[in-house]
Amino acid sequence: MKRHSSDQRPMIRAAMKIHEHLTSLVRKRQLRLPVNRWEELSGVHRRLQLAQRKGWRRASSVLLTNLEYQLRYLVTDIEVCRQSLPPWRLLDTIAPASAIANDLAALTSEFEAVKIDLKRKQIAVQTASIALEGVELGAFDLVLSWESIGDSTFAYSVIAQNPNSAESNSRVTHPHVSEGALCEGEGSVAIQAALLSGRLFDFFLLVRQILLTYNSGSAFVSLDEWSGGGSCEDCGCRIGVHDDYRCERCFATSCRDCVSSCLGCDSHLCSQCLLACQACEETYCSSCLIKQTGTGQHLCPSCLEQGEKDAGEEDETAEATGVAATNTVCMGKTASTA
Amino acid sequence: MKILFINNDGGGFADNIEVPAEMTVQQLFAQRVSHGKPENYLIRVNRQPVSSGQVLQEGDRVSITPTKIEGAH
Repeated sequence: MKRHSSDQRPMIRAAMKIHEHLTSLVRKRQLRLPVNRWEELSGVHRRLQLAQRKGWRRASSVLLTNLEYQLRYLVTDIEVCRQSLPPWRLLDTIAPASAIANDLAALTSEFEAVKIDLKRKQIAVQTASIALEGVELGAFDLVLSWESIGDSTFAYSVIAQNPNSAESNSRVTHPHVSEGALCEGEGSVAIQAALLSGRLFDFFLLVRQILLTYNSGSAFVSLDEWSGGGSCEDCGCRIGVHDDYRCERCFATSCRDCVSSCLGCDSHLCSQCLLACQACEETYCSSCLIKQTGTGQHLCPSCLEQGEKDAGEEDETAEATGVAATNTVCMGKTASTA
Repeated sequence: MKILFINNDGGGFADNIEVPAEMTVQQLFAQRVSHGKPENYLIRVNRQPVSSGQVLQEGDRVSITPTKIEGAH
């Protein structure tokens, strides 16, 4: 007789109990054909045939209506019966206790820790620390209560060891985990199949891979909003709740590096709302830049003033040059007539 | 020879199948998951990671699990 080490005994005992539970699940489900419904339907049919033979039109009409209702109920009952069939087929697909034990033994090579609690009838594995898109979520314990397999409630929980919960909702410890319940999404059917078949190695791997995958389109809290802030609308980086700046023009959210101030009025502005003076290229808001008459350039007050001053000096120079030229001509004429 | 093949993609498939002798893991994958790339799956033989060139044996348990499975809310 093969002796098992003391390490293996809890594993083997757990495997046997899990196998026993799974096979009992299937045996407990009794297939009930809708016999009562059929008998009722048959009774209505017999009465209808009698009414039709006797020429009782009103009774026939009422019985026909009743027959129609009974047929509809029968169709529903048959469908319910049909949907209850799959568990019967599973009897052949339930892994033997030895395979379940091998699954439990193999979990140690995939997870940081594996714990078997025979008293609580639980198997728990610990994942490595999980980070998604730079957000550290930490390690998770996946705790399977095997006696709950086949119940309508969740048979397992996903518990964060050192929760880094979403800022907006402390119950969300992972984008797809709320209050210890994983929203399985694409993995739902495969997880149920693995559990009902006793393929616990596959089950724990499936749950882990869901935790390692971020579905931004369907999360309890998106990673963009995990720390309470959003992402910079200029550069796209993630920003914390105290590091975000709002543009005072368009209210866009910017990070510290992308936000700037208008040199004129000191408003905080995003890169879209910040404009450059076309002379000095310093940054201003649209209200502080002035459109120069004539050139159409948008200039800051300083450059505009300087521009007008320069223009004024040019006019004076031009005027002075023009007078000198006139005088020169006159002198020239005078000279020539002399 | 007969092996237990488990495909955890989508709805899941787990059944004993017949495969030719000397079939490798890579060949089995190409045959059974023709639309997928091996690097997008965890491939385990008897619950252990293996190289793609590993030759399958009678009674092996081969499982294929996608690395990316999208959860929801």
